[in-house]
Amino acid sequence: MQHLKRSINSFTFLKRSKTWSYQRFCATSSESNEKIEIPNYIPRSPTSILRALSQTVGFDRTAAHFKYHDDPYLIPLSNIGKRSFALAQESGRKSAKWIRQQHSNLFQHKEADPPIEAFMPTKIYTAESEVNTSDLESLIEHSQVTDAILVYTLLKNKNIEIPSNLQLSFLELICYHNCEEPLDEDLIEERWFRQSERLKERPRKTWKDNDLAEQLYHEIEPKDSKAHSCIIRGMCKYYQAEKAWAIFQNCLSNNIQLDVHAFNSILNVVMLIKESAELRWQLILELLTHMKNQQISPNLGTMNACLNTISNMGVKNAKDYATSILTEFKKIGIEPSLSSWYYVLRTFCNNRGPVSHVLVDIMAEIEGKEFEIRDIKDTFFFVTAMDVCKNHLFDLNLAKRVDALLHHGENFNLIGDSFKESTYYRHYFSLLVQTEPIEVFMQEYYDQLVPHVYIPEPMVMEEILKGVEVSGQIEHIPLLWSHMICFDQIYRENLLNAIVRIMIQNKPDISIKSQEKLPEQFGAIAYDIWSKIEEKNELRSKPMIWSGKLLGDILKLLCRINDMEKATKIMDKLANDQQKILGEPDFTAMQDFVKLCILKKQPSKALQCLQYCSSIGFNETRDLAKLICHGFTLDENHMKKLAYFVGSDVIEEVEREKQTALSENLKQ
Amino acid sequence: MLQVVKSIRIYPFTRRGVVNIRWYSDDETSDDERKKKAKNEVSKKNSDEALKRLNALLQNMSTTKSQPIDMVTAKNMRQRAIEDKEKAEKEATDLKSVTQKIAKKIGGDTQKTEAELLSVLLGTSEQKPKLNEIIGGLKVESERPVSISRAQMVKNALKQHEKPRRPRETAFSAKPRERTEKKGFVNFFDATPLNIFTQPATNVPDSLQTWSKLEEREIKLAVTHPPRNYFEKMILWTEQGKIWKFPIDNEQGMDVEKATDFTEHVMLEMHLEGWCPTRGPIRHFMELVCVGLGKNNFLSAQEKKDHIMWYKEYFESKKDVLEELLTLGDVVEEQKQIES
Repeated sequence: MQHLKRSINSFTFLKRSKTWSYQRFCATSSESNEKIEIPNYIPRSPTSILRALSQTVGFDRTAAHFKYHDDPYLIPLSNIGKRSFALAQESGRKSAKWIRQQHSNLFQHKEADPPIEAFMPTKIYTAESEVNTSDLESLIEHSQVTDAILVYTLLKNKNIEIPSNLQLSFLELICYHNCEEPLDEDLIEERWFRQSERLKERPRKTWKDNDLAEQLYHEIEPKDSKAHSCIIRGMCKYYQAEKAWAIFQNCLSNNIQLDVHAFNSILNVVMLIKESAELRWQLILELLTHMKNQQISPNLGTMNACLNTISNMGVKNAKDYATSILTEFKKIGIEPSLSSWYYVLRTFCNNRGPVSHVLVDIMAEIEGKEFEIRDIKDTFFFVTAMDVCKNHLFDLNLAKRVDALLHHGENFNLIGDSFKESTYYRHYFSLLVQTEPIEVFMQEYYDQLVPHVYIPEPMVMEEILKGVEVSGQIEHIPLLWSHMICFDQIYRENLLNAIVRIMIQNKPDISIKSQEKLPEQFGAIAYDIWSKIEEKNELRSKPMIWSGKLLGDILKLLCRINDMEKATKIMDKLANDQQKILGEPDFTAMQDFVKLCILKKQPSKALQCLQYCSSIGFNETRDLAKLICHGFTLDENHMKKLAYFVGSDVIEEVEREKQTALSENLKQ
Repeated sequence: MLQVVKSIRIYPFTRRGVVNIRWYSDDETSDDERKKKAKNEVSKKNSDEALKRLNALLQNMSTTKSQPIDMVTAKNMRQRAIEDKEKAEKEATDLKSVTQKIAKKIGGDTQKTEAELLSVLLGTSEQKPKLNEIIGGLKVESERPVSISRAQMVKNALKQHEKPRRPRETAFSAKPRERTEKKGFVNFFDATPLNIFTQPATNVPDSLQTWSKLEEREIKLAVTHPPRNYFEKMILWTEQGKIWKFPIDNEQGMDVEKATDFTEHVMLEMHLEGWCPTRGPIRHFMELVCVGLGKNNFLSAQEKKDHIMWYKEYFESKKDVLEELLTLGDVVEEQKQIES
């Protein structure tokens, strides 16, 4: 201990220097006289910390989606696989919920206090249940439409007075959902994979005429402006334009003040009320003037409704209308949302009209911004923009800009659903493959996005194959083939023909390093095609019909790797199932096969091939016979057969040739 | 009226050339009428103009090479080849006479035209690219010589057969057309406004509350996608109220308790006021109950109050018995005191 003390004392200079530096520190801090500013408290939501953590995870495009992580072996690799995996997972959750609901008496234990409502079974209502108005209130709160309707009728039957505001909110609920049960909030996958409304579908009337909503509307007495607005909104939402228009006009003539949403709804269905573009535009102006006169302040919905109607006009003036609407609303301080731009795109990039570069201008407006959803149709923008890039402008740079915008910040949330996402990528991919060099395309896009983000549809796959064919980069073929197997695309004849054609026409060059293994791989692919289709034909009731050309090409590829056994199988198929095969193979395939037979010393196979050729009636059969004669020393039996197939004069000719060759040799 | 040389077909093997002339008119006319007009036009021999136009078109039109599309099956291919051969032999005529015919048809300086055509054909009958260069924009439909191998023909036929299918018709699918709008043409906010609204827009809350709630819910669900990692999943569960909220608070959701003061939990004697006797066994008992409840942390203040009120009810219902017992007890006590 003493020893230690002494050793510390020996470092006195150290101590001094410490105190000195401390003093200096104090001096400097008093000199600068800095004010310490305590930042304001930032209120955080319960999810802020989770959001912060989630941002650290990042997004790996080459990894499977999080929902497929459970078992790497089961990671789905085709569109249909992804869909069924996710929906199966959700259906498990759904059935658990069903059991909880159906046998709620079995789950008496209380895990949580206060109880978690999301896990509780919902109350079951029957025709005999005792109900009161608070039941109806909570059902409206949770938007359970069917139960709410049941409870409402029970209350009616028991003559229980329903307060007018509750009656109104019940009317709102059934108008909003058209008396149908909405999809459960929990079913995220189902919503994601649901076939969304087609982009270009015409609005169709789906409003249930004379159903409870209308009855209730007529029962409400006295009707105030809210009830009128509500029924108008509901009818317009489900495109019952005529009735809505009648009620609307009635309200106008009776000087009943409607709200802005009712006006927006009517503006949205103007195209169903008036026929010609001119009349529609007149009506829009009229409605807007009415709003002005009634001192109703317009909102984003008003602008979008106008633009929507204009986008359906399909006349030249529509573009002027659209810009004047945008200018008007900009003037009063309403910024367009993504859905406004979606309508603008639809207005300008008309199928029949001239090419418009309006998307360039739109991108100049919105590039680099982060968007939040403000209108339900906001999710239509990106897919439409990419569609315009591909089909209307064919502009790669613009497509890349749109893609950059989509991946900026949280914008990807606005992609919509799986259908829109795959449509988006389909356009993007087919544009990329047609414009980018194939090696760039494969490296930067294909390898990155396929198969976890996007799986090319057969149509896009064909374009990719064409890109490979044009560039001659055949080293991608094995990868593409294995992907085609994964994506379940091998039974498509156009793809098979394309891939086989590429393999036939581009003979791999073994001297190039990247193509060293290709001949074997090509042979393997060819045999794969053969065995996969044969397998399928045995199982399925509707077999695929072989084309002679395809079989010939497969044979050719197998001959290139000198695989006698497999080549024989194909030849047998050709010879035995002649009636079931469409068209005939390439003659060069026959030649290759005979050459292989000569190499492997199989005269009988060569003769089988010859027999096949003569039955098909190739002009060059005689040449083939000559090739056989030169290649083999045939025994008598074989000679007979040969003579039978092509005539004995061939043999004589060959003999003559041989003799002359011999004599020439002798002369030399 | 616009006159366009639509295509010149040149059959290199047969050395036979045909010029297709198509007449376009401003008004909509049927094909037959168009043909008639074309004939009339030729008969007029409006030669100089025609020649000029031909030359102009040669310079202007874009080059596209297309071959007639034939659906060819392998079997009838061979037969077709034979037919073609016969046809070709039959029709084989001197190149010169053909060019003469063409020159006559076009009109104008026939000799010059003839010479030009001849030079083009003779120089390059086997080299198509060069021919294309010379003829410039005209569509050249060429048929391959019949002498090429049958395999080659099959291949070609299949190639044409396998022409890229046009992508499925979508909203905007259209052939690239002439660009009428320059880039940066549309100015969204500089058009003439409608001048209907003059006041800046104000945000008025929706009068229909349920409706606006439903709409908000739908909009929110439209951007709620399957979670991309575990944290997002937790966010989703938090929002659905299935897990603890961060930061963890083990009194989460006990809002009523948060609003009540601890004194209401501990000081329960006040609930005895008014009904409980100030002394005696009942008071004694109730005081013990209050102490016990004051230490209980599983019941809410309201439940504790209810518990005390239950005793109140109980004692009140048993009032008769109690009074009897209590007076009896008092008598016994008095007797004891006397005895002692």
